[in-house]
Amino acid sequence: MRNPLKLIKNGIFTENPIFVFVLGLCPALATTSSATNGFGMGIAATMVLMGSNVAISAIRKIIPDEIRIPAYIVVIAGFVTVIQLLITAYAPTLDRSLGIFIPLIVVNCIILARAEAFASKNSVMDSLFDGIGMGLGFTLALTFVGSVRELLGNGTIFAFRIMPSAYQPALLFILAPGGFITLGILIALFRYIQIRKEECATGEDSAYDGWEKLGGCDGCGLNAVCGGGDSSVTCTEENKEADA
Amino acid sequence: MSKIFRLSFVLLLITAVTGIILGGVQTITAEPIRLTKEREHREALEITLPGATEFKMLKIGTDPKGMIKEINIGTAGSELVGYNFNVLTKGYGGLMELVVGIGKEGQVKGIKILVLNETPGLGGEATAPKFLNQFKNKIVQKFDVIKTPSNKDTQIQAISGATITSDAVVDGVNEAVDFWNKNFKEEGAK
Amino acid sequence: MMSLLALFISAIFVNNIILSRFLGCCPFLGVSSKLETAKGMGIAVIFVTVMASLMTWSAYEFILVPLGLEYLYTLSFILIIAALVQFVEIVLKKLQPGLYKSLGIFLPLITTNCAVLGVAVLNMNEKYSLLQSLVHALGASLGFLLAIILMAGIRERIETNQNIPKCMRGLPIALITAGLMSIAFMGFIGIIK
Repeated sequence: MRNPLKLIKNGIFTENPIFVFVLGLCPALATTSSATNGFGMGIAATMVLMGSNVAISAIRKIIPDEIRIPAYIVVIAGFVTVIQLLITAYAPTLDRSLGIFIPLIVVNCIILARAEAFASKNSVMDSLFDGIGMGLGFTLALTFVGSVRELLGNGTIFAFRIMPSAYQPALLFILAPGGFITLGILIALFRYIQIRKEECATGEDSAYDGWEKLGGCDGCGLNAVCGGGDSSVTCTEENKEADA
Repeated sequence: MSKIFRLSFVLLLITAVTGIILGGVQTITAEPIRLTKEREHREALEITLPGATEFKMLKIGTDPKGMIKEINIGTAGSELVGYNFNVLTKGYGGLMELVVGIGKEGQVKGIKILVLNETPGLGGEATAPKFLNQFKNKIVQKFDVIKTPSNKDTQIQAISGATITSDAVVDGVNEAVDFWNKNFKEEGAK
Repeated sequence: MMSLLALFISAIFVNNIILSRFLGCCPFLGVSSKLETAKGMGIAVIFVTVMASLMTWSAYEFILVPLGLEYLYTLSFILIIAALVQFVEIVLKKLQPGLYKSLGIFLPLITTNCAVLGVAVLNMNEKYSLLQSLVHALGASLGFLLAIILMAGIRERIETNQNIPKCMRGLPIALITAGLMSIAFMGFIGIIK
C-alpha cells in the first residue's frame, strides 16, 4: 500500500488532470461558466472516478485483457447512471445546470485513463486514493477556471459579488469563446511558472516544446490503444497481429 | 472459438451485474426523484399564483399549437384565485418550460421558468426578476417585444443580447393569455 | 422541410458542436496537427455519428421506452456506440481495405469522442423524430469536420512561428485560436430565427 497522502497530492499537483495532462477538456470548458457549476461537475466526476477506480481494481484479475476497454466502459457507465439518479433526486438545480454533461462523464478521458493506467494495475485502496486525488485535482482546476470566468464575466464568485458595482462585466468570459481563451491563458501561466522553475534550477534555457506535447491525448492511458490517431502506433499493433 | 465464448460470457456477466445494481439504485431513488419533482412543481405553482393554497390539474382539450402542457386551477378555500399554465416554448438553446400564473381578471400574476438551456449571461438572464417583473399584474391581450425601455403595458423590453430568448418567453406568456381569454374569461367574469 | 433545413444549418454553424457546445474538444485539439489527419478524423466522425444516431434513436424508442428503462440510456448508448465502432472497423477491414487504411486508425478514438454520445443524448433530450435526429447528426458532424479542418489549417501556419512565447506554444495558443474562431462563429447567431 502506498502513502495515501502522496497519491492525493500527486493527483492535485504533480499530475493535475487539467493543467498538466490536459485531459477532459470538454467539461473543463463547458461547465465552468460559473464557479458553482465547475465545482458541481468536479464533485460528480470525483464520485464516478472513486467508484470506478475501486470497482475496476477489485475485478481487475477476472477481466481478460482483450475485452478490458468495453468492460471498463460498462463499469464507468454504471457509476455515471448511479450518480445521475442521485443528482436528479437530491440536487435538481445541479442537474439542470450541468445538463447533458452528466451522462457525458462516461466519455471523460480522465476516468477511462485512470482505469487503464492506474486501477487495472494497483490495489483497491491505492486506487481509491488515486481516484480521490485525481478527482480533487479536477475539481480544484474546474472551480478555479469557473471562478476566473465568473469574476470577469459577471463580477461574482460563487454568486457573491466581488467586483465593485461600477465594474462593467466582460460578458465574453462566460460565453463559449471565453471558455477557450481563459483556459488557454491559465495553462500558459501554469507552464510559464514551470519553465521558469526549470530554468532557475538548471541555469539553462528550457528545451520545453509545447507543440510536441500538444496531443490532447498526451496523458491518456488509451494512448497505447489508439495512438491519438497516430498511424505508426496502430500499424505496429497491426504488425503484431500479423506476426501472431 | 471457446475463447470468444469465454470473453462474451465475462462481458455479459459484468453488464448483467451492472444492470442489476442500476435497477436497485433506480428503485431506491425513484421515490425521492418523484417527491423532488412534485415539490418543485408545487413551489412553481405557488410562486406564480400567490394567494392560492390548493391546486388541481385540469384536463385540457386540444391546443392547436401543442404549446400548453398542463393547466392547474388554483383556489384558496372555495374561492377561485386563478390558473397556472405550463407552457413549452422554443428558445435559443432548446425547449424552455414556463409556468405562467393568470389571475381571475386575466392579469399575469407571476412567471417561473422551470427548464432553461439558454446561454448563461445572455438568455440565461431570462430568470432575472428585472425581466419577468415586466409582465406582472398586467391585463393585456398580447405582449410585444421591443428593444428600448417600454412605456406601454403591452411592451416588454428584451434582455440585451438575447432577442430569441425574450421572444420565446413572450410567446409562451401570450399563448397562456390567449388560452385564458378563449376558455376561462367568461368563467372569471361570472 | 424548412424547419429541417434550419435545424441542419444551425447544427453546423450556430450551435457548432465544438465551438459553441464544447463537445469533442479532445480530438479537436489532439488530431488537428495536419490537414490530412484532421480530414480523416472528421469524415470518420460523420460516418459514426450518423449511424450511432440511427441506432440509439431506435434503441431508445423501441426498447428502452416500452420497457420503462429510460434511466439506462447512458449505459446502452455508450455500449451501442462502442459495438458500432468495432463493427464498422471489422466490416471496413474486410470490404474496403483502402478506406480502412485512411479511416481505420481514427475509429478506436471515436468511442471516447463525446461528440458522438453528445449528439445521441441531445437527440433524446430535444425529443427529435428519427428524421430530425439524422439531420441533426449530419449537421453536427459536418460542423465538427468544418471546425477541425479550419483549426488544422491555422495550426499548420502558426506552428512554425518562432515569435510565440515558449509558454504559449502548443495547447495554450491552440485554445486561444479556438476562442477567436468561436467568436467568429457567434456571428452566425443571427441567421436562424
